[in-house]
Amino acid sequence: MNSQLPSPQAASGAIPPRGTGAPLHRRRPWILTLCLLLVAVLFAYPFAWMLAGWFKSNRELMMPTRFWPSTLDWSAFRRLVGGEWFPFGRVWFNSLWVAFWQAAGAVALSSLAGYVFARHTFRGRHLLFMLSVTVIVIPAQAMAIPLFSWINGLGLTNHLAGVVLPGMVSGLGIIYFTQAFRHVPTSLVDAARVEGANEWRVYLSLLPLVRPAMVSFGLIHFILAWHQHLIPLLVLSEARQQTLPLALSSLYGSSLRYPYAALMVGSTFAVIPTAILFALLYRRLQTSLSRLLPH
Amino acid sequence: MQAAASLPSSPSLAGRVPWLLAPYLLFFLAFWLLPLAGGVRLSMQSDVLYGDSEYVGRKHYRALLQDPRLLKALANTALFAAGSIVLILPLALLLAQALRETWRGWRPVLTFALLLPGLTPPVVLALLFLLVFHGEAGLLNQWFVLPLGGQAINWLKDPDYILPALVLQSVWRWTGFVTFFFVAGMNAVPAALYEAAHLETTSRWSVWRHVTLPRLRPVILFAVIYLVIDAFSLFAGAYVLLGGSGGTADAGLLLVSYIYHQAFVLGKFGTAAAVSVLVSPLLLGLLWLCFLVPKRA
Repeated sequence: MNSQLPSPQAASGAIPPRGTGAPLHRRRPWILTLCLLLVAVLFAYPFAWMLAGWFKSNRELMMPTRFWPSTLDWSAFRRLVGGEWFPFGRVWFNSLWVAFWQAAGAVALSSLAGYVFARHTFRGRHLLFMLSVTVIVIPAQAMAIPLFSWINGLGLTNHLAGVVLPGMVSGLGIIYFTQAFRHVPTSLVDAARVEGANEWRVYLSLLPLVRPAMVSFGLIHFILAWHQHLIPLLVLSEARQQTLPLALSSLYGSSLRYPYAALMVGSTFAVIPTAILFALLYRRLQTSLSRLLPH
Repeated sequence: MQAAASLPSSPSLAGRVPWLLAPYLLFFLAFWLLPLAGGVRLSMQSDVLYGDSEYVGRKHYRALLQDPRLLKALANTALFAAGSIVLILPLALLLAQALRETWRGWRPVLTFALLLPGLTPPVVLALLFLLVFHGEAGLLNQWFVLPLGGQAINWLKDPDYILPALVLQSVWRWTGFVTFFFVAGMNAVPAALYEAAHLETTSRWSVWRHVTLPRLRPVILFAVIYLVIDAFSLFAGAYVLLGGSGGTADAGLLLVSYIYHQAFVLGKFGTAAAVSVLVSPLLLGLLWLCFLVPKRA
């Protein structure tokens, strides 16, 4: 890319429309696109290979440079989805359920707290905020044991709620929504308050203004929850209550007697939900992030 | 994202703690502060799996401060974080700029391809990394090392290459996400700034250097913080790749694997809790630095 800089055409005066990210010059970006394409292929190749891996034998799977399967053998797919190793449908649904409720709960709790942190003053506000942010940095491993015994004490072992409830506390969410509510014009907040609405109604009336933040944070938290491993590992030991990453890693950790292709199928199902969500929300996410960033 | 360090100084409503904060406070207390206090208490109890443990004071802390493995883990983690940041940031900046300049119709597809590793659970990522990249038949060797005339590298066994392999996995995982954030940051730059800059200079490099880059600073800061935190606390890749151990000669021993090893392999829960308590101020200080340094600059 550096070879193309600097360019005399840049001064041609083509003024891009605001905020659309249009390039400043109108040269055909052939070389650039080719380089991008190469990196993208390198990044995405293992995933294409994973799809092709549905049909491969263990021996074939050990040859990463070989792409196409020699036969179209659906047996690994049928055996996995048929629940030969773990209750597949149930486990996949558990994962979706946990990630969805964690995301919904984190959005609700963090947006409420973000509104308060951004629009109220009270004693201990700074301390409480800093304390909330520390949530981000303390290793999950540090908290795992005491959290586990506490959840056990609440009788939530082997309940999905035992994973969902702790996952609703998000330090990132606090920063995210405090920032979002700070961007809401003060005049709008004041207008809502002058109308005599109580704080709950003020918060509700401001929610549509931070909807982009809700969508983007919700998606990010969904992805994080979907990737969670350690806490579910401790809390959910029963096979029927496990999440997909847990089931996959125990399948991976067991002997080599089953076909590796089953792992490829399972992995595909572990990628699908976040990939689809991201594809659906791509444009919204891009604009909401641009808006949220300080100018 | 600089908001994290400073709250607005004059919000429009003052008074007592509003009850709106109650739901969050309840969850924060129940699922964060209480376990945290439990962790601190645990760090001063003797290491027993079952039965009653007794109060041992600062014994674990004293032992830890003399454990060379902990130092090794800290050094490895710092190296890992620095390596990922040094590789990911410039690559993501290049990719983001390229994405903005390529044809509009191509952007979503290319972005999606770059982001795919970031959307994937660490378990799957590590599995694919193992099967596709490592070992003699792996792509890293077949596509890059051998064609360039090198010897096939055993990425996950050779102590010289374990940490680079972990860094490569981190690059593969996070570059797309960081690129995505950079593109969003670049889109947020007001077009008027570019118009003004083009009245001053014809050099695209100079426009990029003096308009785009300074505007990206908050996003770059956010990316750095995210990568640091990921390296120190969220790293699941090392666990799956190396099975929770440090690999050959502890060359890939990260802080998280160290804690995991203490707690879940050796059953020393007290010691593991003490490590976390010991390291948390360090992480907070690091986070603080990330916020303070760019402000001073």
